[in-house]
This record gives sequence, C-alpha cells and structure tokens, in this order.
Amino acid sequence: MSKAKPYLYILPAMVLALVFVYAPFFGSVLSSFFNVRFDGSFSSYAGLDNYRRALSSDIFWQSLGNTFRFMVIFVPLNIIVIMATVLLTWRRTKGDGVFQTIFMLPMAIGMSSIALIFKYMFRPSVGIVNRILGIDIQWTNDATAAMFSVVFLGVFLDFGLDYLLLLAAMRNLDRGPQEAAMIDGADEWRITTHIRLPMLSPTLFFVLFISIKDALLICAPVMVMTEGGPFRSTQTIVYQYYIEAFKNFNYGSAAAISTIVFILAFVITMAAMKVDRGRIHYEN
Amino acid sequence: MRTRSAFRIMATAALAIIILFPFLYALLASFFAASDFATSPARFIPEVWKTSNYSRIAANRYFPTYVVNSVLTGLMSTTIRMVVAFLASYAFSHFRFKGDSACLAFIILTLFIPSDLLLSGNYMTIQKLGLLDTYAGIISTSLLPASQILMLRQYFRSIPGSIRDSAMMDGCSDERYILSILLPISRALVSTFLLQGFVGMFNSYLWPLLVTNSPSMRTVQIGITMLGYAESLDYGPVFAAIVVVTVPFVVAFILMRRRIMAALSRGYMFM
Repeated sequence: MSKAKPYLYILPAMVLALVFVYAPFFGSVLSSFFNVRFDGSFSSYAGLDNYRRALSSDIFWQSLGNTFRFMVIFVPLNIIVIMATVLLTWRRTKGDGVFQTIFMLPMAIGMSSIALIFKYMFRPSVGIVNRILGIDIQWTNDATAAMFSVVFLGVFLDFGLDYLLLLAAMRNLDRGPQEAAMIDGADEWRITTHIRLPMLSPTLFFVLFISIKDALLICAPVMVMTEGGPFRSTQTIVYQYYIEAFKNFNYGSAAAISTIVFILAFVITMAAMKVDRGRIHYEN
Repeated sequence: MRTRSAFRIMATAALAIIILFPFLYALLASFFAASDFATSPARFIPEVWKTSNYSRIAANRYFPTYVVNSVLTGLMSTTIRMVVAFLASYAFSHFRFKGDSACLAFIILTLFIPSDLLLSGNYMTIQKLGLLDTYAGIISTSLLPASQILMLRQYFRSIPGSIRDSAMMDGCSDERYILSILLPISRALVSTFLLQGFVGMFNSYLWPLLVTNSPSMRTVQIGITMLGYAESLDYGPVFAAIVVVTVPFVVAFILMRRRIMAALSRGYMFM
C-alpha cells in the first residue's frame, strides 16, 4: 500500500497531463498527416498534403507575416517600456507602493475586457486616443495603424507580470558589487549599465523569451479587438489555425498549421536555451 | 540631484497615467449615454452622469448568469487545481519512488506546449466525453497546475524532514499532515496560487468560447463581447459590465500585492 501511495498522489496530475496536453499534442501532429472527418476520425492517409495545402495558401503566409510583423514591433517596445518603468521605480522610497500597485493593475483585468476597452478607445473619428493626442489616425482602417493598436494592447496585457518579475529581480540583486562600484566613485548611470543590467540579465532574458513566445502565439486579443482586420492585416497565424479548425472545420489543415507553429515555438525555445548557456551572467 | 529625482517622479507619473487611463476611461464611459459615444471630438467626461447603464446590465437577461457561471467555474477550477497540486507536490517532495523524476518531467514539460494550439484536440475530447456546454467541459483544460507543482515541491523540500517524522511517529496520516501542517505553513504561497487560479479561469476566453453554445452556459468574459448593445452603438452597458467584473479583481490584487511580490521573488513564474 505505502509503495503505491506516491503514485496515487501524482495520478490526477499525470492523467490531466496525458489527456489534456500530450494526447491532443500527438493527436494533432498525427492528424496533420491524415484527411480528417468532421468528428475528428481519420478518413485516409494524406502524406504531406495538409502541409502542401497550408504552405501554398496566401492566407497562411499573410498570417505568418503578420505574426512576425507583430513580433518585431511588440518585443522591443515591450522590453523598452518595462525596463524604463523598472529603472524609474525600483528604488525603495516613501509611497513607492502606490506606483507598484498601479503598474501591477493590468494583471487584474480580463483579456477580453481590456481588448474591448482598447477597441473603443482606438475608434478612428470618435475615439478618445485620437482626441487626446490631437491626431487623426485611422486605427481601424489602416493596416499599419491597426497593427500598432494591437501591439499597444499586447504591451498592456503583459505589462503587469513582466514589471513585477523584473522589479522583484532588480530589488533582489546582490548589493555588494553595486556598493563597491559606488565606493570607487562610479556614477549611478554607469552602475546601472555596467553592474545592475548584467546582473539582471537572467530575468531580463526570461522576459524577452516569454515576449517572443507570446508574440508568436497571439490570437485571442486580436479576435476581440480587430477580428483580424482590416483586410486580414492583423490576422495572426494562431488565429488562422483557429479559423481553419473551427470556422472551416478543416482539422487536417489546422493540424498542419499547429504543427508548424509547434516547431517554431520549439526552435525559439531551443535558441533561447542556447543563448542562455552562453552569454548570460548568472548569480550563484 | 534634485532635478534628476524631479524628472524621475514626472516620468513615473506619466507612465502611471498611461497605464491607468484605460481603467479610468472604462469607469467614466460606464456613465455615458449612447450619444456620448458618438460625439466628435470624443468625450471623456459624461455630459450627464447616467447610472442607468448599471441597472440595465443588472436587468440584462443573461449578464447575471454569465457572472454566476464564471464565479462557479472559477471556484471549481481553483479548488481542484489546489488539490491536484498538493497531492502531486507532496509525493514529489516526500517520497522517493521508481520513475519519480521522469514523472515530474512529464508534468513540467507540459509548460512548453502552447495550450492555444491544443484547442482542436481538446475540443474533440470534450465532445466525445459529451461535456460540451457543461461546467466540467469549461474547467477541464485548466486543471493541471504544472508550475505550482514545481513551486510547492521546492518549498516542501525546504521544510525539515524531522517535522514529518515526528508527526508520523505520533500516528499522523499523510492527508492529515498535508491539511494541518503543510497547508497552514504554505498559506502565503497558496493564497497567491488561489488568486492566480481563479483569475486565470475567470478571465479565460478561447476555450470557454469553444465549448459553450447556449447563452446560459457562457462565462462573463465571452458574454461581455456578446451583450448586443454594441449593435445599436450604445456601449454604456458594456462598460458598466466591464467595471462590475473588474473592480473585485482590482481590489484583490491591491490587497495581495505584497504576497504576489514575495511569490515572484521566489522565482514563481505565474504561467
């Protein structure tokens, strides 16, 4: 009995991992090589047909292009905004809890709630954003502007957690090297760029990696805010997967797209781990 | 030195205003009349403070049901996650058994598989099990707390084994040890997990959207995108609904700030 005990305790977690992660994962990779019926059963072996169909479709490449366009704007902007906020607020001062609370709040709001708010704020002629900035950008009609509006939403969504992660890391840095540099007469800016940031790099790198992954996988915020428009200009690759699976009921083709995205996510993870081993300054 | 700190305060305040702005706008817009949304240039302060948006949302045919669904699925998911996490992390920290590290890896590796790409596979599973349009279907994919298992395992391992040994000597069972010792001493972590689990389920969007069809089973984050007022360009009730479902979480996060920070300092990933 006591030998079986630990297995009994881990059983629920193991079953959940098997049923809701590994089974659909391998099932999806497998179905990418088959023609799949409406109910999910396989009708015939398709070889690479699903991949051929996906890769020869303009919509696939457009969605993938949109995803990378989102990524190259989102990732740097996200890191810059968060790092700036952390550098401005990491010192413990009187009342710093107020700012901390404010900067944490994006975590407290539901994705679809904030996506709806952004959708209304970024309306072209009657939206509050245009009025406050005194501009007249056609956020919903112009492809580039629409992409930027989605990027702003993405930054807002990730802001709270990324901020707290980096803030906690910044505050927990070893004081020793910083104090030594201060005694040697280094100014604040040099201590930040030469000591704090290198020491912070494991966490910074983690946040960077999560941002890249989030960018590759973004879908639901786009669905609520722009529905992929205008003219599919904000439709991302995971959104395209969703449409193939649940609008077109083309499971085989959806499986091919998801397998391609799995591979991209895997490559990003591997690359991240490789850089991680090589360049990053570690504590302890 | 003084100019630098003045700059710092002003820059921080500017960032804070940007972050607060969407919240503030939603709050003010929840008092807008339909005409306030259509004026150009856009309005920020309502012309007349209209509280009827709130009474309309309270009287809405489905909105209260959406809220109840979200609260119930949130509570169910959070409770089950906690039980699963405690059982597994207890086993992984207090027992050595054949295949333990392989089993742990099996659970941890799930963190590297993007869940949004599993939607179609999971949908078919839930369909086959006949769980479409049920609470069980809605919570099913949220029940595996992989990163919490990792965190709790690490935490439990830091507790001296002598405590458990003497408890066992006195005839304490494993279940009792978990409930009367582990749970109370890890309550700071647990409260963060509970908040995160509840928020995660309450605010999830894609999966509940897929597995529910009837309006009476929709959760609130889906429901607010389908309230039907937007067609008539009358967004007031939508904003009132957003305010109603957001305020409790804003309060909870403010009250829990220190604990969340402490959990993050331990390396908790909040994924």
